Amino acid sequence: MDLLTRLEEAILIAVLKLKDNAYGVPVNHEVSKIFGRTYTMGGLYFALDQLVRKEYLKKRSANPMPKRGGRCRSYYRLTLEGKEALEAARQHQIQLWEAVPELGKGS
Amino acid sequence: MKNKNPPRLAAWFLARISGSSVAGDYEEIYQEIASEYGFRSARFWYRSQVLKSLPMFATNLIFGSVDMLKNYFKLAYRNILRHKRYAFLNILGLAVGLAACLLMASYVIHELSFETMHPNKERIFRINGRIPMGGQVLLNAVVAPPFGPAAEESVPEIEESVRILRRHNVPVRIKEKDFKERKVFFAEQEILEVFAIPLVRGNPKTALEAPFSVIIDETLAQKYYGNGNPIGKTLHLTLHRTFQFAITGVMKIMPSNTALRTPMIASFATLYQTHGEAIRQWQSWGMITTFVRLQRGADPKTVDEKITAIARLHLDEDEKEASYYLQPLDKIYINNATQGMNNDLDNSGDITRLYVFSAVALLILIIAAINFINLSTAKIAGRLKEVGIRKTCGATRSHLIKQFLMESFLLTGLAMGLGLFLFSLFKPRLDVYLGKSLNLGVLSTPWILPAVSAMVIIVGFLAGSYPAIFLSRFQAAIIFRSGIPRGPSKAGLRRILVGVQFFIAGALIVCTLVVLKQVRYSETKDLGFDKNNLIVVNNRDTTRLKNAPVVKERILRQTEALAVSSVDNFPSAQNRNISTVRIEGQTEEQGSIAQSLEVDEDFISTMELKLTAGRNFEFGRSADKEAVLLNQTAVQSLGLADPVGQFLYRGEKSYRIIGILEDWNTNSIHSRIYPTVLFYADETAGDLVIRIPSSRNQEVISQIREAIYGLFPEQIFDFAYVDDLHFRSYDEERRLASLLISFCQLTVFVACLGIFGLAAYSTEQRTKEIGIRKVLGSSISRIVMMFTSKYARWVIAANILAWPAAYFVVNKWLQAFAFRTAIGLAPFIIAGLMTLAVALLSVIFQTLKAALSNPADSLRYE
Repeated sequence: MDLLTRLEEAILIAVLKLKDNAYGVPVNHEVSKIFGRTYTMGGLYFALDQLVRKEYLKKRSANPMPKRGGRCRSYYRLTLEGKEALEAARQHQIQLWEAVPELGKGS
Repeated sequence: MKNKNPPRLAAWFLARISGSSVAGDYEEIYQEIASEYGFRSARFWYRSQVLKSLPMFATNLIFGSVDMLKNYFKLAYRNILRHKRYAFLNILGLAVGLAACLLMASYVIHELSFETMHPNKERIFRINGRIPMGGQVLLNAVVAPPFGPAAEESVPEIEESVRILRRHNVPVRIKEKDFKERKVFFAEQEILEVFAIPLVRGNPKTALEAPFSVIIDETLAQKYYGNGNPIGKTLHLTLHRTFQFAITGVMKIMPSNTALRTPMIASFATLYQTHGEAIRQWQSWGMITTFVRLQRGADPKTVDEKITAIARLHLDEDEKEASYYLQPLDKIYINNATQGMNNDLDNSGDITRLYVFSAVALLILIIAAINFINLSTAKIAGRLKEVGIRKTCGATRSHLIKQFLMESFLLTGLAMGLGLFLFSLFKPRLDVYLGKSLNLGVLSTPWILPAVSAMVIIVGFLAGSYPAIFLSRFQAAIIFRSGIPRGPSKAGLRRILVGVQFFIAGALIVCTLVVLKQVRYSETKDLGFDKNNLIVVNNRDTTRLKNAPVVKERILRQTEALAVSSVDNFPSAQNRNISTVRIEGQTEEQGSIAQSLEVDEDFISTMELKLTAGRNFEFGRSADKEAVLLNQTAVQSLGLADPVGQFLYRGEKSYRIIGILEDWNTNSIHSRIYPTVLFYADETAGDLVIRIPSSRNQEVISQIREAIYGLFPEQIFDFAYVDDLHFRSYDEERRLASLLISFCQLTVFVACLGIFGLAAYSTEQRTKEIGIRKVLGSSISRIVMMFTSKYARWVIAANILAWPAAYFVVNKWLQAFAFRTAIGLAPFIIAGLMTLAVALLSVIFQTLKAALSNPADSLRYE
């Protein structure tokens, strides 16, 4: 299984956290909060599309709304594979850090 | 801000590339930013998002659609294979047009690239003189010998000066072998540095220091010495006498796009020995081409005044009127034709000719492009069913558009490849043909390939977009419900395009015919003397041919020559002596410029000129040394009523006019006949004009050679046929004519492809109509007539429109000749009939095929 990139990881976590409100704008906000910089929308959507293609995310369109110039929102939700991938990434992280226990302990 | 929506164009673009829901997200953020920071920054953000998404958009465009691209390519490939003949004609037409255009372009680029290879070229100038003479200003590219050093010494802006003396057709003798070099320079050492001429052998610092040293280029080294080392070897050059030179260097062959191209440079110091004082005097002007290199940042305008001041200091009173100026090096070649420069370094380029060639190249390209578009659109109408089926299978309109465009681009791409191939095939021939090596190839010129690619894209797009947009619009249901729906009838437009092609072709043919007519006229024009069976023996070595009467007597006695005359400097297209003459009561300014010629008493009989009044020179009559003969033009321009017996003044001396000759023309007929004054030659006159019994008689020529060798064993025998000289002065026109002929053939060929395609299309469209007409009793000839008459009308109309245009162009071209042929009606009529004939020929096959087909076949499926 391919490892997730940092951005993908952050996106998956953001989607998980946002639950029913996980569409482009708030996901961008969350990710930006974590990394401390704004992602261009283009960059974010490319990653989102990638995740959908890998079937880690599922995309669903809601009804169009006037606030968005008559366009619909696309909501995202994690799939089972997505959750597994996240878990794998986390395991991987832990394994990596175990090799150097003295570094992780603070300061 | 009144408008609360995001920028419309940007919104459309974002929605288009990133999909509707994403665009919705953008809009939401837009509103957020707007409520927080105002609409201005929101707009700014929105627009910046478009820019930021561009790279992604580009990658998607390329990689996202590779699969479909492959598919389109495959379809296009199959389609080309299915219509092999059509595809071949189409590709060939465009390729030929492209190749022709590139060939022309390479010529034009070569002409424009003159002198671009010199380092510091923007600081190198030539000193030219403006000399008032007989009410006109003559431009002169040569100055007095001491001018260059004097200017370099006293004008601080001048960093370096180079003096060059040119000699043409110099006889060269190496051991026992005689050669003749078209151009030899005598130049100062600095020429190697200023013009960065690389030496293969020899020391570039000293090669041209010593008198009687000479540098030759690699071709000459090969020609004279084979593979041996020529350094230190000697050769003989004949100037006014024959001198021995030592070879001190071998240089690289100079590129063809410099007026300084010469195979041989001898040292300038030589001239001090051979020409003595003359080379130190300000009065012996009109010899030396002088280049200067200015200091960095110097202003040539201020130098103009300074050098004029220097010249006025030294020159005689009557030359004080002259002023001098610096001409930039890169303006030397291409500008002079319009400026009328005298004593230029080389034949100068002609900017009008470049315009003509560029225009012709462009016309051919346009014809080829029109043709391509025509054939493409005509053929594609038969593919409606394909469109229907594709649509039924789920192709969207954009798929179909892409597919048609892809096909079109594939064809143009192939045409481009073939065009480049044809170009590289014919380029060497063009080089030979034009007598130049176009060493600055098109492919090495950076803008050509992008330009060709751009053209291919434009043509491909134009040819592909019509079917793409038009055909893809039909709904599948409509296509199948009514069989073939009303076919796209753009025949009108196509007919106009074919008309344009024949307009161009017709005009070109007329131009070509007139150029040919003028060339023929030039060659056969009565020149006022018999140019056949006449040779000129050039003799530069004046010390040896002192006693002309003895030489003449010897030649007449020992050989079969019919008549001999000694002439000082036989005039030709390139060569004439000019002086100002006047009659009694006229001041120097009122006088007229005349060509002066020193001849002996046998000139009239040898040349077979006609004496209309007075008498010839008489041998031994000492008063005749102060007598002159005039031609009729001179009589007119001097305004003499009863010329014989009057006096003519040249400078301070007076001459009695003893006879009047009918006009003759030894210059080319580009120029009008000059007022000509014949002076009586003293016994040292240089050239011999000899009338021989029959043309190209080698035996007589070798007899004459022997006779001259018998008298002067050292003399290098150097002769030319007068009719050759005359013939050669129309080389330029002959080249133009044959170039035009090839281009005519090309345009007609391509135009025929166009009309052929059109006919093929329209007969195919009307197969059923033909079937029905036949069933109802129409004859084959009537059907053929019906189709062809339509095209005939168009071709005739195009021709009639082309006539005034062609007349205008050709008439302008003919203005360059003092003697010109009448244009006449014939070229127009011939051009019309020719185009009509080829057009009908290419149509008739198509229509005949359709008319002969069995109506049962064409109507079977109805």
